[in-house]
Amino acid sequence: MQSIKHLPLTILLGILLLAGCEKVIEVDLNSASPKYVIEAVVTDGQGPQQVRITQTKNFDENNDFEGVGTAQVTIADDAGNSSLLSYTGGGLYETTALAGVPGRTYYLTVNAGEETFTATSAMPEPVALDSLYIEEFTTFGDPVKIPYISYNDPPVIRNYYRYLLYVNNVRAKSIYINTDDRNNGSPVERPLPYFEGGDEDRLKAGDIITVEMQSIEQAVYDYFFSLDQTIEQDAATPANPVSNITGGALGYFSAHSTQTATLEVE
Amino acid sequence: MSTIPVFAQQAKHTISGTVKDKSTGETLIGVTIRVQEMPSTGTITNEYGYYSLTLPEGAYTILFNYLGYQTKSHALTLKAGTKIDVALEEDAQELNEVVVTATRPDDNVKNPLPGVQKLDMAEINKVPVLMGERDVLKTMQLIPGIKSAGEGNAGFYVRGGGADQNLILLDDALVYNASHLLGFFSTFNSDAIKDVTIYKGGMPAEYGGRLSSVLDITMNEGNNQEYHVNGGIGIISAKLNVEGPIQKGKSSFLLSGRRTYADVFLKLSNDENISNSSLYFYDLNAKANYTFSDKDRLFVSGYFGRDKLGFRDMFAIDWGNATATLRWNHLLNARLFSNTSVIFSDYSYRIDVDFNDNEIGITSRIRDWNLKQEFQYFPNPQNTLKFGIQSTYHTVVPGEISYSGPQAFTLPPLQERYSWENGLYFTNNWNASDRLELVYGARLSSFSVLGAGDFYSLNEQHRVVDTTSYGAGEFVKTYVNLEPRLSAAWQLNDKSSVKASYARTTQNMHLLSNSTTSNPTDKWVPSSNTIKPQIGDQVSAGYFRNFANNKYEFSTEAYYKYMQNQIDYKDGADITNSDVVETELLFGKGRAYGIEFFLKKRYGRFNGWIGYTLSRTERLIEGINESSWYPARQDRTHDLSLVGIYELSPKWTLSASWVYNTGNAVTFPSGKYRINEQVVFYYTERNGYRLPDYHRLDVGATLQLKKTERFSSELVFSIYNAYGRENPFIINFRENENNPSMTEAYQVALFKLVPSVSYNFRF
Repeated sequence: MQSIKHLPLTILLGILLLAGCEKVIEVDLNSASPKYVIEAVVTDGQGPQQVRITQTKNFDENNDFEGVGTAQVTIADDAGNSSLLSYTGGGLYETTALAGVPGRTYYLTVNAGEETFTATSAMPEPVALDSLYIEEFTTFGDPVKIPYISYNDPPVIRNYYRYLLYVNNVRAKSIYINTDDRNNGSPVERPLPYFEGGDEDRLKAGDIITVEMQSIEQAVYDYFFSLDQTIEQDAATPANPVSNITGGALGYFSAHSTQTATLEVE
Repeated sequence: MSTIPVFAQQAKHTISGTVKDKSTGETLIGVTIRVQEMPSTGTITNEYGYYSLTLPEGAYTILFNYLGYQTKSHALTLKAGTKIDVALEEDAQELNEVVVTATRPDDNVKNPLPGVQKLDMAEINKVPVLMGERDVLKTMQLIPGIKSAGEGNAGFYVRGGGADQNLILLDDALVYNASHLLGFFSTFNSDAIKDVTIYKGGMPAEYGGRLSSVLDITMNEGNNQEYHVNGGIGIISAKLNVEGPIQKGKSSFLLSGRRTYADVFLKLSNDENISNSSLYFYDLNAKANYTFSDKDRLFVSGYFGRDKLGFRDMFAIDWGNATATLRWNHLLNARLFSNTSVIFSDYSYRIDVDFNDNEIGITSRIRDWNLKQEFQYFPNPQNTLKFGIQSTYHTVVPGEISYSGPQAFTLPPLQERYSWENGLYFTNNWNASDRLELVYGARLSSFSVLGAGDFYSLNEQHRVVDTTSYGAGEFVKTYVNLEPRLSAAWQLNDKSSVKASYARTTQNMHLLSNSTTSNPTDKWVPSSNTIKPQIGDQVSAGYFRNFANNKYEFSTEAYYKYMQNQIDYKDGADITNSDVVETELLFGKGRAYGIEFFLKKRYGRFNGWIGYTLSRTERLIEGINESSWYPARQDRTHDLSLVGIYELSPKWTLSASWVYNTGNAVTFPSGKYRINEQVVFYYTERNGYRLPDYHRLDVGATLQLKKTERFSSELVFSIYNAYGRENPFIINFRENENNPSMTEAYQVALFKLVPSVSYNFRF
């Protein structure tokens, strides 16, 4: 829907841009003091549960984001378990001492520099991923293979999903999320179109496809929904994604249960 | 002071009638009617060409004066009520001037309303425009205080107001989207338009429903003497206008149509993606009137326009307005004029997508039925009173979705919204003395949110905490507002005046957009239990002076506007997909202030104007920029426009316009970070940056080809953006294509140096 509604402008622009022109420009952007960026996940099972901590940089600097190695990171749950994560380099903190259990609530605490950040996330029950398959379509005269997953949305309302698509073990950048707002309790067939690279990078026979389906919380869904808008620069007004971390850090904390399926493209 | 008291004991009688153009039968608006024996006594014709003047018994000479027409005088001895219908003849001498204005020469100084501008169609036709499409809205944006929203953006901003805060009326019918092709052209075909008036502030009480301005457009009635055809062919469009009598002297019709044919050129393309695409708009104006008796006249008018955009068989969108107005003028007596109108207004769009056997259709619509009863009462030459009532029923259909295909979707339609808007008003124009003229009045407006539907209560996190269902026709919430309006003009002398005004305005239909540019799919949302009416209070004061026998006019006006219940979006708001759109909004207040300067040369071989505005527009909304004042998108410090028209010879007329303004306030990133395995931009504040300054020169030339009584034609040449300034339409940020370890900013500019030629004819 989002993309459909933007099509008229896109098409008209496409036509106008034949006459219009694009060029790289210098924009005098302010420098901002660095902010912490936290990407924290707890998955069902033994993990490892991972937290990555980096910082923001100025726009005109390069895209190498060094990790923050001096933070103290703790994850606890509502069953009385707690674990201090150990630093493994590149801004990544890990633990295998804390199990992810659907239904439990997890608490993240990060002490970095003078600042403390906290977040809470309750892990939803997993939803069974029934199948992963490929459908072939013809678009602009070319055949295109699109991965599909199917599952049954449970009858309880407010299920939120995030799907990760891996092609030959490389994760696709696109953000694939879903809610059951419009089809609660129904069977779902969801395409995960692969958009990376050029025509030569399209899915072909022999590619190994892996899909991880995560059952996520609404707050995490909101984060990825708004992250997608931030990346696509198509929100009503550009802004940072809506974070569930308090204390002024960017990023998110997601406790989620996952299901995975793998397939070789024929 | 005045000599009126001397006559006070005498019997009084009313002179009344209609003033028309002799050759076309078209009624004339704003004709000055004066009494030679009593120089300070007079009136002007109303929007239907009617006037009424009540005087003591006596002998008088009445003068009918209208610029571009020969003055007509009528001597009479007034002993009883007298009807004088007048037909004025065009003044051939004055017609040779480049510009024939429809306003009285000293209107700038004498009109009691500050912040009002009348546009002359003849003038509009001389100003160069994009692709040669003469355009009321585009030309209007060259006036100080009225700012273009930019290329590719429909709408305009008046004194810091938003694009949705302008009341745009075409023969009393509200036009929700006044643009074609996403704002490159307006919906108003200048061939069909008789009169354009814009109120930037101090709007009289008969207007209500929008915060910032009123743009009142009247369509031509059609020639009731003889048939005429005129038309034009340009590089992107063709138009044709036919008018003539239905019954000579009594009734007439007008039909005016226009269609672009850019899609014809698309078909010639070798690229299938382009040749199978469509891109065009058309519109149709129609009007007819019939005079039943001396006392009764009926008008029917309508507009229908549609834009269509299609991409192969996969995607299509069309959108447009339809309006219809039925009006009945009735004279209850010579001093009491009644106008009854039934008005219909509709804006809709439809999107069709066909993708791999999935067919999705989305229809959205807003529809108004409006009943308006107005009386104009002319008790004496000092007062003209208008009062009336207006009642509108709004239906908003945000999106009916149809789907057919293999998926098991159940797509519940977005909820329809119903509301009932009422206005009760009076306004009096009082010539208090030779020097002081006042226009005062008030409007009592109400807006009722009606069922059926679910209405939501939100908590402080903007999440729905409670839902209440209402049945059909049930009142959910009613908002009542009293809107006082006052304008005053004090004549310092014949050449100069000072004016001041205050107006409160309210608005209950709000436009929400999911992008920084405007789209036909932008959403109109009525006030609800959580969205409160926008309220605006504006004060303005100005100095007005004419020079050299009204050859030059100068004005300067300052304004301050305070706005309540202004709407902005919360961070990451999604307007398009949200059924409970209230959860995406934040509310706060706004303020706008500025000073405008306008200097115009009205006659002569060279004429034109300079307009300059220095202004600021800010908002304060809890949750945005740490709840401090921030610039609204339309905030522009400087705005300058120059327009020049020069009659080189009887054959050639040259014209040019140049505009310059500070760039709009925009949100740019102030940093970046990596998350989800990609680089994401980091934003620190809303509207904290500026687009580069905008400036552009347009030039035009008109060649009069042949001119006889029966046939005349002309060629119009223009170059839009003559020096090829690359004004950014979009500025975005991305990874550097050659060096992915770096990020860069890029801009897209539209329309560099667009030449056009069009041919216009009339017979």
